[in-house]
Amino acid sequence: MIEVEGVTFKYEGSGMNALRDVSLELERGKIYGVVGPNGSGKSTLLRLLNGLIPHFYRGEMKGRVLVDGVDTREASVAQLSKKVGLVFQNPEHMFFSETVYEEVSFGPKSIGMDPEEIKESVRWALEEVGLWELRERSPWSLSGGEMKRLSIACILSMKPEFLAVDEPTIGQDSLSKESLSEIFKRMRGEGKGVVIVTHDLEWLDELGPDVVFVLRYGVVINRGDPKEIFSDIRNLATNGLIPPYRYIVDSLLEVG
Amino acid sequence: MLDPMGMVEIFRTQVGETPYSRLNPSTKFILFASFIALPLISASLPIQIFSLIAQVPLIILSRSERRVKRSLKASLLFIVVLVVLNYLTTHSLEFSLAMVLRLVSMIIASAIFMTGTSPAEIGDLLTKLKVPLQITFSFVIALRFIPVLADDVVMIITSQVSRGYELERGGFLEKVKRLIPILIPMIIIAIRRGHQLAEALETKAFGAIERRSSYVVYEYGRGDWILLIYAIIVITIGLVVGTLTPQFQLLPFRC
Ligand SMILES: Nc1ncnc2c1ncn2[C@@H]1O[C@H](COP(=O)(O)OP(=O)(O)OP(=O)(O)O)[C@@H](O)[C@H]1O
Ligand SMILES: [Mg+2]
Repeated sequence: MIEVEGVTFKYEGSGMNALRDVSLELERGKIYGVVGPNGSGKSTLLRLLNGLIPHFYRGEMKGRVLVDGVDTREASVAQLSKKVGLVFQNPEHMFFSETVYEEVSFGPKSIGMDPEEIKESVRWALEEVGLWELRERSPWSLSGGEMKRLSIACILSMKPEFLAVDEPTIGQDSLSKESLSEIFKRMRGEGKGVVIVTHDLEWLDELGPDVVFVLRYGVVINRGDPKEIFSDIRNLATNGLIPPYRYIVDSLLEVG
Repeated sequence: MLDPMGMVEIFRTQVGETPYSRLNPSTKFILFASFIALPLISASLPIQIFSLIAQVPLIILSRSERRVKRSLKASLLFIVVLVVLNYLTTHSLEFSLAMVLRLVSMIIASAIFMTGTSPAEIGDLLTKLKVPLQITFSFVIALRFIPVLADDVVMIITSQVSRGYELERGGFLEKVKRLIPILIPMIIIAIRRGHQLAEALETKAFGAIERRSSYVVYEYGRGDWILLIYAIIVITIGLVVGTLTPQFQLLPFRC
């Protein structure tokens, strides 16, 4: 379980808190959706989960984050990466290998998996995201959508207990989006915890998260059952979020 | 300790306005030029120390104290290595120190200028000085790139450590080798950014006309005058200190 306890964080040099008194719990076997307008603190929240904050970002932090009872301050990001896998918004920042295959094996090697296990998990991760056929290609020769899926495979191959993904659907066509949903649902089925940051509520609704958090100005202003949150159309709209289509239709019918 | 994130801190995008950023761009440019010229007046150690100290007011006005401090601290190892290498070739500790301080003070001057001046301001300024558009533009782009790249470095490092990568392992050589997964994405991203920019410029018909129109007017305030006078004083002192005979011969290793 990941426990975020009363965390307030201000980046160094910034005049505003990026997160304000955020408390939440993330369990295994569940999918969590995190939504909110630009700059509301979604990526900052993810950086807390694997210890990038406070280890790599300077600033003032109050409160604490516990990953299976261990304070993230007490463990290194490398250690935490075995438990919490973080997939960044921009995949390009991680690629440096000659082939897709090598790229995916970088994480498992870094955390000291044994060679047999690495082979197995790299193959599994690449098949999961549908890139096994492209394993000999250069990561840089892939399309934007393929790069994003490759970045997910790079983390999947490390077999983390929790997977946190920033904006997975950007640049994905509808088929890839569907296969992403399948991956995340399978992970939930295997008892992994999945945290998804997205602006794409339509897709999130189809994914069927167990809990949704709505962030605004660094505050969790709403949380709970996705049905309740999605049907509060007005609230979503004032936060710059487009509610899923079927909820809009429902509310129109109700008014009529 | 090797802390590449700290080293680039000084060039990272500055958030918000500072008394320095509000100055007239030409004042900022003159200050920048003065503080680049000052350490070059002579190779003597006193001049280098003076250049550093004379920049303190600018560091404060641009609210860069923390960033400068962090970058210096993070670069300490490199600075020591540079001094030692210099010493091994020149056999003069004073000369080596002077050269490294010169480098540091020029880096600080550039960082204050780049992070506190918007590229648009620099562009307008160079255009007013009748610098050809192509040169102005290349210069502005180069300046604009540095903070963007510094931000990229942060994202690259955090991406790799999130994959279980440890930057800090091993001795010095091992640590340098460990920078490869950081350096390769950085180089590729820089090249790709360059390409994207070239394409973007062409679609916007850049270079179709000789003189681009501009409508911004910059004013001169009291702060500008004070700092201009400061620049003149500093350069004058520099020239006086610089003409004092140095304690050692210039480039002694050539003798
Ligand atoms: N490295 C940083 N240094 C300073 N401030 C930052 C940094 N990263 C983010 N911020 C600020 O923190 C706040 C929250 O940013 P964050 O990136 O978490 O938002 P977000 O919800 O992920 O937005 P988006 O939807 O645009 O990705 C913003 O005000 C942002 O400007
Ligand atoms: Mg974000």
